[in-house]
Amino acid sequence: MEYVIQAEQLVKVYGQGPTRVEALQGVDVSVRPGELFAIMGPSGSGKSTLLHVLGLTTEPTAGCLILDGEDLYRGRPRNFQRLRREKIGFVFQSANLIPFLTASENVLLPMELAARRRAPERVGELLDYLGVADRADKLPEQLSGGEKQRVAIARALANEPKVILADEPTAALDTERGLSVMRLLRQISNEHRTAILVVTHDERMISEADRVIHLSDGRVVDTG
Amino acid sequence: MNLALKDIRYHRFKFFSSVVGVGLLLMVVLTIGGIVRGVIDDSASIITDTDADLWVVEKDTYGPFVENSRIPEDYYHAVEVIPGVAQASPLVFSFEHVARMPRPTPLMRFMYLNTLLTTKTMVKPGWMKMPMDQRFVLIGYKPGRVGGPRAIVAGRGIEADNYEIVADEKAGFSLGERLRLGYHDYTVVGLTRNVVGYTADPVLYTTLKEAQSVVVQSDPDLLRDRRRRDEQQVLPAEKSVTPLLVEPLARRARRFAEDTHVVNAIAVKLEAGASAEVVAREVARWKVLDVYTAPHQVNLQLMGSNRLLLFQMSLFRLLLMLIAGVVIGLVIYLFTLDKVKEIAVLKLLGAQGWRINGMILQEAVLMGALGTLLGGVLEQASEPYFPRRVETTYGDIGQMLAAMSVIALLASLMAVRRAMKVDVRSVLGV
Repeated sequence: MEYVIQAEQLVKVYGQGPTRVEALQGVDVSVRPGELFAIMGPSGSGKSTLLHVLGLTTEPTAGCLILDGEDLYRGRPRNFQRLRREKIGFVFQSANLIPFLTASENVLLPMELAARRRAPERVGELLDYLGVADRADKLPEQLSGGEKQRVAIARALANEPKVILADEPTAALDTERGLSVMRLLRQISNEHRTAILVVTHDERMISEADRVIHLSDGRVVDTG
Repeated sequence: MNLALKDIRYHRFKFFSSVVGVGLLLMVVLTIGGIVRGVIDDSASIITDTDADLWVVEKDTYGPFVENSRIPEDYYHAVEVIPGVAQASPLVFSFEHVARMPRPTPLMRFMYLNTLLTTKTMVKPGWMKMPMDQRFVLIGYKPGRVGGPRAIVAGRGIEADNYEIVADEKAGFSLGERLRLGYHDYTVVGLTRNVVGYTADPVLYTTLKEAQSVVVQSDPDLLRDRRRRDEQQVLPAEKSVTPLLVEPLARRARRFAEDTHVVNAIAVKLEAGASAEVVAREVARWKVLDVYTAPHQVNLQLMGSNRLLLFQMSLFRLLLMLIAGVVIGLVIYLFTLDKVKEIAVLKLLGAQGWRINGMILQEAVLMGALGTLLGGVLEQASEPYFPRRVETTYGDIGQMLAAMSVIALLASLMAVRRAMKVDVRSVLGV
């Protein structure tokens, strides 16, 4: 099956001379549609850098990155802002909902940014799907941690992205809510055929993942 | 979805308290501008209200407002027949006072106490004693000629010599009130608004003859004494030489001593199309007279007596505007800096630059505009409570709005620059 996102021999070097740091040293990552892929590793292992490269916020020093069949660093320059808007969904550690928008407006926002039609109807469907329809008019500060994360997932799904990058989505939640979020991501990947990359420290969360890679010093040291 | 309005709704306390802060600051800036305009208007008040084209005064004086000018009253007949003159009107001006101070308002009392406290270390005992008299500018004019009040806001004007006065509202007198001026009691029959001297003292109008009796006529005891001295010193000598001249000389001496037919200026109204320059040249041929145009008379007060005050206030206004600009710019800039995280999330979600910049710009312009409007409303509402004239026009507020829009734009450009530098990675993988 074709990969939604495929990174080959990713290298990322920061600084020069004595301050030179090789954050990624030839990392390969390939994720299929509907696959839940976990990236694990200690602090400083290169997880964040890999996330930045896959999230199109950092250009790799070397290597190849193909998103939805498009080799992003070959040929004409790409509009990464548009690619992020249309093909990638983000779920953050602390939800990072826009505090001045209600739950439904937070979900509506990416659709407005992408000028999608039928946006309001889809907001209702997504909130309903994630079980927070009754919290639609609440501001983020009025939501619990779990509810915030569900709204954040709804926001990530808004534009039907090819891939969702989830950065420690369970770190701010207790075990029960954390597992619930992981199961939800599992369900989404199955039902929506969305590739989901989850960066996590939490060993208990990887039970839901299809594949796991372990990073250390910028290299993949284990796959499973 | 308008992100700026959503953000304002959420941060309403912060936003509107910033608007109030900006508004209060701009109110002060506008008020200082209003005070400057007030000084200008006060300096021009009598001249513009009199509506004369030329002012004829005593030779080598700047009179009648800033120097003492005395010319015989009947000169106005001669001026009036100069070609191009429509009307010449003799006027008397004098700074006078009555021993009656209108009851101070609570605000005036507060201002006096505040002045006492804040100048405590600057004055010596007795310097700051509250005066118990009302000072004013007395103008005497011939009813029906130029020089009288242009608009009466209450009561009526003066039609003949009847010991009546028309007073400016600022004097605090009410219609029907009686005042002692000179040796007679006068009744207030009309009120004017904003007719004051360059010192901001209110103007009181009465007829020329009655003003002359107040200003020129000497104390009766002094007159009697003078007459007695003339008779004792001059007449005995004349008596022995030409006894027939004694009586005519005595009459002349009495008349001279009592002569009140002196005025301070002659206000000249020109015929339509007449050249002020030509008429002024004609008047100046008289060796005992000087003549000034109306703008020149205003200039003598504005750039003479009030020059330093005006320069100082204008400089202070400029400094205050600069300070307000910097403070307001910083308020807007900091308001944006508080949203750095949200901006990073928006950028990560793929929000277009124009959308983020639009949000910042709209909030900045709205804050500037609302602050200016609030400042304008507060300034307008507080104007009547200032003891001196403070006058800010809608044009001034419009100018301030334009200046604030520029400041808001500049501040938001700085904020946009900062927003564009926000690292989207700051919310991902930390």
